[in-house]
Amino acid sequence: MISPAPGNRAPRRTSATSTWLHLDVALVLATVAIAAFGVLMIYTATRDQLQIQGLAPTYYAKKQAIFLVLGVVVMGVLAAIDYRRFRDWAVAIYGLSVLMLMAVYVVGHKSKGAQAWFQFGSYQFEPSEFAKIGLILALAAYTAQHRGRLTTRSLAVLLALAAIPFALIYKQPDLGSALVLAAVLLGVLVVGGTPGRHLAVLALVTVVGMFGVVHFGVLKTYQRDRLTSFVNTPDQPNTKLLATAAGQTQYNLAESKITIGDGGLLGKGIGKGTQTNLSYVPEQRTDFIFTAVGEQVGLVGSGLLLALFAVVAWRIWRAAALARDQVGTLICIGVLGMLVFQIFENMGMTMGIMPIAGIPLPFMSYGGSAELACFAGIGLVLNVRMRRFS
Amino acid sequence: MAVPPEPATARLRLTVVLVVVGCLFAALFARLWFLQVINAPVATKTAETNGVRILYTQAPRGRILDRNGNVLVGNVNEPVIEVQRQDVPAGSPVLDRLAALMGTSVTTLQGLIANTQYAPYTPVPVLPNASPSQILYVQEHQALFPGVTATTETVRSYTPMGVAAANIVGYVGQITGTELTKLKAQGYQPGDQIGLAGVEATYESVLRGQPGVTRVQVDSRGNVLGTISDSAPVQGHDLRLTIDGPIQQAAVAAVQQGLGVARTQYDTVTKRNFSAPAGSAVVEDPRDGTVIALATYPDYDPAAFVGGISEAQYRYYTDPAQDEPLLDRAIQGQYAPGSTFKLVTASAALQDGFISANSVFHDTGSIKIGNQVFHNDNSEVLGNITLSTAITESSDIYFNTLGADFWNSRGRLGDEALQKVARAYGFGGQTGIALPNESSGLIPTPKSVAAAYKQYPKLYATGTWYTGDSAQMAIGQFEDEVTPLQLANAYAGFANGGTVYQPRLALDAQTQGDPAAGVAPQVVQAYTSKVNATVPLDPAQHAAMVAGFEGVVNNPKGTAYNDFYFPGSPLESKDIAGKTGTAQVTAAGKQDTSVFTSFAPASAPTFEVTALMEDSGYGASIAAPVVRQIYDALYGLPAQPVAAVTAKGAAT
Repeated sequence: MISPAPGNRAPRRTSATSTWLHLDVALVLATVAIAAFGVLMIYTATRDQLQIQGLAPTYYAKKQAIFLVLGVVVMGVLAAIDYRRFRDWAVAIYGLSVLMLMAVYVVGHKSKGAQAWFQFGSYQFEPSEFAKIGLILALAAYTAQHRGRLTTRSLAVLLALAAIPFALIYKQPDLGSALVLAAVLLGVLVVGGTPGRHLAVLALVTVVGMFGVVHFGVLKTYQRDRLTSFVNTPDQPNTKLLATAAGQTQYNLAESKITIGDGGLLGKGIGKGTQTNLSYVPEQRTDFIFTAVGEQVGLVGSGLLLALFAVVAWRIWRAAALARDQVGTLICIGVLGMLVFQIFENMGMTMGIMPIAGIPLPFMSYGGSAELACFAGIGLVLNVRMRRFS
Repeated sequence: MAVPPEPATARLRLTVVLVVVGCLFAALFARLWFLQVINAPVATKTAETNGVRILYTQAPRGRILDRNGNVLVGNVNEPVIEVQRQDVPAGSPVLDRLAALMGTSVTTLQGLIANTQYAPYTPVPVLPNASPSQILYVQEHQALFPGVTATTETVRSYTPMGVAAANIVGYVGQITGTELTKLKAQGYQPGDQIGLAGVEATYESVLRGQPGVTRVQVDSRGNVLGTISDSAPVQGHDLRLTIDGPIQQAAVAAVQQGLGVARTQYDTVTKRNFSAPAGSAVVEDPRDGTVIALATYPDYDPAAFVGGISEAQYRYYTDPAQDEPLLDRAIQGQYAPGSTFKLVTASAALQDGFISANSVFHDTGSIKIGNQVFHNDNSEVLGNITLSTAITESSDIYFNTLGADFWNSRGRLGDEALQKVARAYGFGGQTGIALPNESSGLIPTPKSVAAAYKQYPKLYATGTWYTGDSAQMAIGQFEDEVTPLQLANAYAGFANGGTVYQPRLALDAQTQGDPAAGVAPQVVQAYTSKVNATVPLDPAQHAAMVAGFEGVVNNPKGTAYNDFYFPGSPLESKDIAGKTGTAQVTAAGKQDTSVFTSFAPASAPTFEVTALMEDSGYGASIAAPVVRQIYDALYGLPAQPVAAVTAKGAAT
């Protein structure tokens, strides 16, 4: 079921139309629905502040709608080109993504303390998002070459492939995006056939390494505070917290949890979230967009959103299971790792069960690069599934 | 195209991934359930209060009136320039313009705006007492001054009567941090004005009014988005005092004049003129203990506290070299009462049967008690005298003897028989008048003497109470200390037949009404008198004592006979009774305290008038003429100047 029967050496060349007949419509609808809902949430989260500033209330929502359309186009393009071509181009794509990550240090735009963007007029491009796709393709291609039998040496190559963009993104600094690469790597390693003992050693090294990072000052104080503050954040947003940087993070997190809780079972209604309208959650249109969902549509609406995400994850997993070759499976698993890690980390941080890291919620958070990267990932998954018989 | 062989565990590995993903989603949903179902009530409540800020506008205080409705303290609108903080950020050109208008630097202005005594969103007054041209400039160029308001603020204003009653009305000032923590529950805000002294402090709750409350919605950046609700401030109630404004003014003037006269008098004991630095007077209605006047001099101008008193001015008002004008000597000064204390000794001796209304005592001018010899003033010999004569002519020997009798009968009456009556008259404890920081005075007892000696062995010669101490105490010497109000209140209690009231300052609290619309003020609370204690005397005993006090003024042998009457004086018909006191003060360089206390008409008293003049000589010499001038005012007579009267005989 994972792939066509062995010995099928001359695959049928199917026409483009028959390939598109196998398009996973459920996956497309689920992602587009989430993204459209995201535009609405961005509108409600930014409307009042934009009005105060004398700008059009739809300023951000319009831009995000454009990203949505572009994302669907990118998804279509990536679905159209046979993924085995991407496998063959993997080295070049990966190399380009690493080059861009390097270039961002030279000509990049500095914003909010991180050197992570290229500025094109009023638009910014974030190469770390592109690097996620680059890494997925590179890892999948290399692993598939070794036919699922990963030796210590090939494992080392895989680790190195991931380590280069990881280090470059971590230096920006953008720990969150770097961790997404780690999640992608983990997924590919597990499904790609890394021997159990190697996985165990890797897990041990990771745990020890994380302990060391948190306790021995590898991270800057503000990074560590952000990572650990969710553990002891009070339930009430006390303004006294605002006196310190760590306290500000806790204050914001407390407001975030209050905002989600304020929605209750049914939510306060779209456009009626007081916390949202009064901007009590910082970065609400980007990393904390889920708080707008929680407050306005409550448990029912947020649960529905979560279910849509679950549908997306399920369809990606199905595509991985149905793929006709291992590279297809691993591309899907890479995309699954990227999206699920981001969903869990992002929602988890807004609800106070995960450390705060600058990770956008897929298809929801405001931002063009992330939106395009997510749709690109879905495009690849559609691609793999469409061509499971070809 | 080659199909890669699959690892054997591929299927299992995919399943593991699916299970992990499923668990992660389950965890997210569980957390969502916790926040939006279990924890939702708390979150909703927090969110409700999050975006609402409450702004308070302080209400104008109620006025303070005298017993006839004359305004002592009112309000006046003062021009002020205020700045709405969030509208004028650092670097704003508005700051430059405003600083130039105020004639100050931008740094100074920013310091004023940053004043943490004002709550966020509350306009900060940066220029109180702005000139009309400054106000006009801001109003005419409002476009240049966004966030700056030229407005008026309500401040206290004082009529001349109010200034004369400064020690009673007190003053207001900005609430301090400690008070704010204490009073937060009552809705006080940083920057609020609060009564700090006088009835402004003790009747704060009546005068304060209700602050206006405006609930506005703000976003997390502090932008005000709109008003949710708005209630206007309600002015505090007017407080009508028992004080009679013109009498208060007359009492202050009499004390001031008396001090001036005293300073022209030569003291044969200290061989220099009397220094007469300060004095006080009390006028009380003996029928209910209401206080008609409470004068102290030197006094202060309460208007100096409006908008915050300068440090130099405050230092002046509390400077001992300036005789501490802020000190209200009528309730805070503590003096030896001298012969006026004979009221207590006479009452106690009658109650305990040492004397009767008519018993006769042989005054030889001196007496030996223990190993001490006591003399009348100038060793005058008064011969066979009754209680009335002893009071009228102020025999010390008579009362020394009674004091000794009390101590010698301690087996039967206990150690503190005399002190007990003193306390019943209100000595040795606060009277409870509604003014802050009243002094207690001191009535010594064998216990207090022993305790004082134990605590300060070097300061006192002995810790033992001797018979002579009782003899001294009986004539208001030894360690007796009373406040002028205690003395007046004790005599008022005697004068009305033995009911010692708590001296009262407030008649009622009332609304302002609306004179323009013909709406009369309405009394919202009427205050009543409280009885502190009673000193029962049977009518014959009481009459004997009253006769003695009447004699002081009306009998040619009385110690104050020369003070009140001159041929044809209208006061002659007023039946004034009184008692002189001349308290020796043992401290180095101190001169005698001149004391006079009185009530009138003696048969049915309506006034009790007392004066105590520091370092001023005999009671008859200065205090009695001061009291006499206050009676002029009470009876509507032209004020006769205070003139020093030569004390006669045993005029203690």
